[in-house]
Amino acid sequence: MAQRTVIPFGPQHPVLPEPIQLKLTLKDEIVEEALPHIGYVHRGVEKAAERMDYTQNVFLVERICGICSFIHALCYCQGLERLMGLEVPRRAAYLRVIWSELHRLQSHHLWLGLYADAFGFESLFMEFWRCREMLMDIFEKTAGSRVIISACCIGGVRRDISDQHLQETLDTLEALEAAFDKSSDVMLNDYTVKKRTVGKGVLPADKAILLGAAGPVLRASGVEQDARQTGFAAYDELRVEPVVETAGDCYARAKVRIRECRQSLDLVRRAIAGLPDTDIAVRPKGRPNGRTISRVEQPRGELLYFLAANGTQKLDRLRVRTPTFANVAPLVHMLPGCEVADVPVIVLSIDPCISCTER
Amino acid sequence: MTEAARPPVAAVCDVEPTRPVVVADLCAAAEAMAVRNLRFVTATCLDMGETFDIYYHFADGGVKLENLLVTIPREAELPSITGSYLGAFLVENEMKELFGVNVVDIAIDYNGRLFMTELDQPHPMAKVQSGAAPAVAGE
Repeated sequence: MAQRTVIPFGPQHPVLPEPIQLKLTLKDEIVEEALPHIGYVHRGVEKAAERMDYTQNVFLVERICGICSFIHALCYCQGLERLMGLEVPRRAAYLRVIWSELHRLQSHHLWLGLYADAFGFESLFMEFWRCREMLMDIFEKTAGSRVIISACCIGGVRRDISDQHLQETLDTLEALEAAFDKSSDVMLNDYTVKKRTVGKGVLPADKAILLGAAGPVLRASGVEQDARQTGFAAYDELRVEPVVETAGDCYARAKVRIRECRQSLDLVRRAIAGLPDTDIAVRPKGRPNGRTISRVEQPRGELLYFLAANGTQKLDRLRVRTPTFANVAPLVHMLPGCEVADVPVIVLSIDPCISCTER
Repeated sequence: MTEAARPPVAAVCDVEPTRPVVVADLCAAAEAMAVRNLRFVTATCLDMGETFDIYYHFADGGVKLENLLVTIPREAELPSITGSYLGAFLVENEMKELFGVNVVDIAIDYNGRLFMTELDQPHPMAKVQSGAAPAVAGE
């Protein structure tokens, strides 16, 4: 007779860089139900944003997530610029694309390494993270720090990238691409990797939409949606076609991210080639007033900021909806029916960022 | 939008279409969005003092966003849209816990224990504090 057991997966688990708990109801080795529990790293960022000056919030929102700090700042600044009627100089828009795509590259490299680690492929993990170091070095050169780069400001960007650093960035990307080709080839074609990922944690397209999936999780299920299609920053000129796969399984999610890395490499090169020679920021005037929504595409998916301002120095409300927050419900759908041994791989396949989720 | 055209105090979203709906029509409006295959993005709660303004955001493809706006008195019940969009359970629990919005019939209801413990201040995001901390969820 089959035995039902409830086991806690997390909050501390070798594959989880951050704490989340899944209460798994098992029938023998098969997951029947998964119930997520969060709340271990809730920091009250939205409340803090109501108490700080709207200019200080740029530094606050960057600290929501260390992996895509620049894109949080970009989303926030973009919303304020809309409320204040600011036109960002084109060079700043292009620089925003360059740093955003470099963040996407390093985030996907980080995830690819962690993902390899989740199914026990230690050397592949090290290869991806070795490549990621090259990207972190670019951040240090171009922005002065590796994680929270604080390059975005209301009205543009805080610093320019010199011609020398642009050339060095291109040279580094060339070296990175060669190494990435080898590692990604293993990730996509290795027998054991495929055995652990193909057909696991399937999310059909209709469920992905109804459950509100975001980013690579959504696109790996065949849904062609990417917030970069809205044309924010300089994406109106540097057109982006969403990377789509149709299988909806863990393998497809990895494939989407690998293809997005190549897309980001192309975008950075095109942005550097077409970098306009203008100012990098305009000075904000007045104070924000009104309500607006700002959307950008993070490495993990669509990021939405809702800003309500009342003409004072402090915002009425700042709502942050991060992609992992959206991908928790799809995860709950993916797990039932899988073997308990596949749970770590499936959980990792959504690229969970719990600091983002809880804010 | 020019300074003259912009509302003096936060009133409407200035870039995306927002359709006001009454509470009684919320579930039907959400179901209509689901039938049109729109993706639920999230909901946003604004504490206006006497009332809550609650926006529901839906994506129509990668570019377009459609919003529903429900305004309810503080103590009024707000029906859950998890019947149409199960993915809304997390944000509805968040609104219930952090703002004190009385969301009812959530498919997965944490009973005020999504982020907080029984020791926390009830509804820390609410501008008007009322009521005691929610009861401990029986699990």
